[in-house]
Amino acid sequence: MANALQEITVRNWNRAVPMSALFELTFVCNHACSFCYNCPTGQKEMTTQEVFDSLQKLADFNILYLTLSGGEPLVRKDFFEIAARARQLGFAIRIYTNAYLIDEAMAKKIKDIANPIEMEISIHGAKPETHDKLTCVPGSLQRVINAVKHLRAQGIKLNLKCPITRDNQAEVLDLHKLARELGVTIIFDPVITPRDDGDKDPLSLMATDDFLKSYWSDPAYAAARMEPVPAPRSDAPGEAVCGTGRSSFAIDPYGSIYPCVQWRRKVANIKEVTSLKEVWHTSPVLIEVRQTAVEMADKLRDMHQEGKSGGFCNFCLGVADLQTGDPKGYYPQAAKNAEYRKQAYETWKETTGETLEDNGGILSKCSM
Amino acid sequence: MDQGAVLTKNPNVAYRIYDGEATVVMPDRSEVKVVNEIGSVVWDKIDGKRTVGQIVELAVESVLKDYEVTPDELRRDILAFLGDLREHGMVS
Repeated sequence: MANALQEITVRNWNRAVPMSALFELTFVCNHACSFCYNCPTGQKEMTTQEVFDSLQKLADFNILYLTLSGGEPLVRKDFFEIAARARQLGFAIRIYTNAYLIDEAMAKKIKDIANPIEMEISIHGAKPETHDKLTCVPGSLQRVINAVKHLRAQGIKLNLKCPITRDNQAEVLDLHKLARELGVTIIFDPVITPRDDGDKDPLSLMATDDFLKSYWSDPAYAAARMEPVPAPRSDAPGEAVCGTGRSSFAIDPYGSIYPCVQWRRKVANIKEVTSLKEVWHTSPVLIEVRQTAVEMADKLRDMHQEGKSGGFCNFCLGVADLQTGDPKGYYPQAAKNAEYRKQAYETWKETTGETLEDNGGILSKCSM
Repeated sequence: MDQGAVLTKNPNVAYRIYDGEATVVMPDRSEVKVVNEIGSVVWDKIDGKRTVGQIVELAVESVLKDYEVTPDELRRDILAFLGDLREHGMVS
């Protein structure tokens, strides 16, 4: 039976009442990951006051969960002023960071000033030569490890986050072990995406087909993928494929509002908006995005019923739009991972005689 | 619970009200609590200035008309609820 929080989350999802926003405070970063999707345009990023005004608008719009992201958010000199204001406005704060700047003193400052409900830290390899090659910053893996220890000492909940590339795919199990030793969870993402301007260069770093096949089928990876068996989707008719423009939205450092961090279809600029509520309910972009998300879930369900891999697909409308020019276009990474997930599920089904009908519904869907 | 004590929301909690129900996030405990409609009325009255007695009376006044209960039953429930909030570290 769903608990009260799950009930509220599902109710809000169904009515497109957002509870979360992701705020990219800056595109400046002290790493230079070759697969990063961010594309700074050279516009002026928001001033402290403009960020404060935006936070007030988000609070007035009843947003509860606020993710402070980047680029690298901690490079902003006013980061702690912003975090303090966010806390004052009653947000539950999450921070996405590469942790490069977090020493013992900064970990304490993060706890005292931001008091985040959790932080997500990017990690790109279990060996320094792998991690540091991907970030282009010598010593960056050791910085992550040190930061995790300092933040853990402050009692902050942490998740590590690792995009799987062909350069680090051989270290997935070691990374999982490292996370366990550090006492934190780690989330792997087997899908590399194009840059926000459509540049497909990062795709050359995608994990190999052989690796992806093993990743989804080999029991050795079960703990790492946090899914003992890849389960089929369970979208009910009329239910959206993900929370884009529905349960959450994103704001970039220039103030542009997007349906989500992966789908940069501009909705408005928060600096020019007086009421986010009005924009949320009347924006033609958001209305179309929500409709597309429902249509895509229908499409995947139809594919599943036809015995195709769509029912096993973790589909991203934003990546599809960037890569194929159609938000419902079945892009290669989605197709590949879905096919391997389906194969793994069918092998498991044949071996055990069991089936899985539900992968967790709305609560398991991508909300950012 | 001392009726004259002033109650303050824990400054570490984050909350918003959806459909009359408060969703309260407590980072230090990694917990999220959902407070029902009556509880949310009470929660809303906790402002760091009002005493327990004032909060109880204001909340009774706000919700009594909507429920088939006596004022004393409601007072008892609200006091128990405030005790629960304190136990969970949501108020002090």
